Amino acid sequence: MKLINKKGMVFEKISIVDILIILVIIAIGYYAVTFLNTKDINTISKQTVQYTFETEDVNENFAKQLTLEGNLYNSSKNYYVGKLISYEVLPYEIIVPDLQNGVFTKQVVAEKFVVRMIIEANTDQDDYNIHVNQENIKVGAMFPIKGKGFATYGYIIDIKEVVK
Amino acid sequence: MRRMNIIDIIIIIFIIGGILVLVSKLGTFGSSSGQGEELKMEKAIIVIEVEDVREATVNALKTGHIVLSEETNSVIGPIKEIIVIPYLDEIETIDGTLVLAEVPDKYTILVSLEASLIERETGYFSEGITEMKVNSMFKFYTKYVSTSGRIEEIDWQ
Repeated sequence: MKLINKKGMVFEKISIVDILIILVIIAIGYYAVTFLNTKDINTISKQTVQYTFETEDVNENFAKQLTLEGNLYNSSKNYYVGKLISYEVLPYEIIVPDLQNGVFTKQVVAEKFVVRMIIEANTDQDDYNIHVNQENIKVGAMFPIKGKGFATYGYIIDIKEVVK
Repeated sequence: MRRMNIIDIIIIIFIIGGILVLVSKLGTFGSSSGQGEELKMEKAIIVIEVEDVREATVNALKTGHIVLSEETNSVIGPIKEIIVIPYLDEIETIDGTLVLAEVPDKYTILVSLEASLIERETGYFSEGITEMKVNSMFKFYTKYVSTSGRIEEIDWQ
């Protein structure tokens, strides 16, 4: 039996063209896998964090709906984002230009408040991200949040790792 | 030798298409000067101006933290230096004069990153993937903060 016969069949079983195609596919696959895997070596670890979520421009009834130890969820996608540990209510201030003197000043908006919620959650962390379910916990990240009796939007303004 | 049939030709076209997609994704498509030049990574400090942010962002950015591009999710490099200055904005006063005034509790941050850039005909690419251009907006994140700024300077080391 010849290695390649006159018809181009290797061991009279498979075409040399098919073998070349298979080799090219294997080479591309190897190259793609190598490229994707060399990006970063990223290990996932479990860590409890407390993050501060700030929502502003809310009325006085908002804080009445906050329950300590209550579960909180992303109100758009319904996944758990942690439980409420504590909160503080602050006056809501906005920055306005003083056209007379050419300066900016802070003015308190009557009957409006800023609420800062400390939320504790078990997170999955890698070298570059902190996740609570699908929520990527970062300062500056905005997401919609809800508890039993409220829903609002806000930003994460602080993240602290909890040593237990 | 067996003649190639239509199925073989279609498979070969798919393979060539796949190779072209991979090459273009890697950013090497059309990047060569055509004279067989070798592309080398060179270190550069990239200065990004992050404007109009609160103290929370200032506190979350730290030297040594690794910066990644929001757009490509690829690593750019570590933060080498952070300079924080008060954020100034324009006010048109009653007499029509434009003045720059400090905005309370708002800051401008100059973040210097160390990056490895490849120079190509079309621009500079961090790690061969993320394009870096002075005056362009750059969305980035570290493990602890997500923000954006304008690239102010690319300083070759």
